[in-house]
Amino acid sequence: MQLAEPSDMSDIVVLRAPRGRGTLPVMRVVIGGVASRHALSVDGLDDIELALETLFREEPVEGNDLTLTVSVVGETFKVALGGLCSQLVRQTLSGTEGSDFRRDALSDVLRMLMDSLVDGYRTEDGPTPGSFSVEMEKRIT
Amino acid sequence: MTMAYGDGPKTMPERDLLVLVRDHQDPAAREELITRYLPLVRSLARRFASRGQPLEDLIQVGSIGLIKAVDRFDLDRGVELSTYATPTILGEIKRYFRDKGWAVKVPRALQDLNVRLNRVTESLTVELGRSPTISELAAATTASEEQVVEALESGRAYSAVSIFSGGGPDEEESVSLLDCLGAEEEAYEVFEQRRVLAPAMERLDPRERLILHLRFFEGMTQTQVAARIGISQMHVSRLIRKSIENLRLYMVEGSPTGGAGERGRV
Repeated sequence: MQLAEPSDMSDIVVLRAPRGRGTLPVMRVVIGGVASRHALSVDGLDDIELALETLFREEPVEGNDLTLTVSVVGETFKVALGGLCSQLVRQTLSGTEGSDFRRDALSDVLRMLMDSLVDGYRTEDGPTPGSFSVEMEKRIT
Repeated sequence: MTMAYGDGPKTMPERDLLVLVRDHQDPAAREELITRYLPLVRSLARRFASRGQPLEDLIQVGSIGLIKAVDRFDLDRGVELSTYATPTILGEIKRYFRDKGWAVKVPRALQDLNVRLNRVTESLTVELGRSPTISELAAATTASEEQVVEALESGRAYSAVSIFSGGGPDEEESVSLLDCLGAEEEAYEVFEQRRVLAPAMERLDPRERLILHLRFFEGMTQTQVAARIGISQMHVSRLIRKSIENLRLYMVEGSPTGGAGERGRV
């Protein structure tokens, strides 16, 4: 799926936060705050938040800071989570998962969730070795 | 006005007792009224006896509602005390259940807004024919958009008590999910095609399988799943998360590594 270009970007919010129990709730509030300024439905908002939680679930407790970028491009609500390091997530979402049983099972679930929850996603290498970001988008209307 | 006690408050008509409480804050009259209405408290508390809380606790909570009703009753309104006391007692018991469900301390105002949002989401969904936006919820509840976002987030702290007795902070008695399984059971065969997922899916309870099937295999939105099953969208949201967590747990348990190397959560 062709993802939208940031040529008509409005309402861009970037949050950088350390990993911790309070990070996810803060990120959800930020996403909710931006969503409240647009016509994203409660269903759509919850889908995006569950997708975010899905990515979080695979991340280790310790590690570098995470970066959340929330933006609206035309009728597309975009959420990018950077600073990730779970290779299971990276391989699954980029389509290069391994053959280990646990990876196949969790990969299936991960793909099932992401394919259903958001309208599109892509992975991108991060600035530090091993890190990457996942950009997700959801149609507003 | 002089009241003839006769044999005491125990034989006095209810109205006379109410007058004594209103005009003289008479403790004996107050106590007599409360005693007379304790059977009502027990009767109302028994309605909730199957929800996992001790009946004696519910009676105690209901009694608090009765005391409030007696103290606040307005004789000039022209209604019976029982008419006023019943919703007051029920409200106290329902608030008790609501408070029991909150995993963390959430300010009362946010709890109340969360309850209203639950109701308003349902009514707006019917009215609009789609899931409402945050702005629409804010307008309908006369709260700010920021308050709505905060209340929705605080709702994450609420854990469903039991799907069979409703699962939200103000959930009405809902249709048992098991009543809805029926024809959907055969659709679970689709999971057999995913041999890797099937063992874990089989370990989920029927309602969890149904929720995941409708949302992730039938592609229904949460609102559509809620309408199909007869519960609120917020409750569907909580159940989806619970079901996914259980699915992951069963997959990890069933893997050859038996869960070794499972990472901690951020």
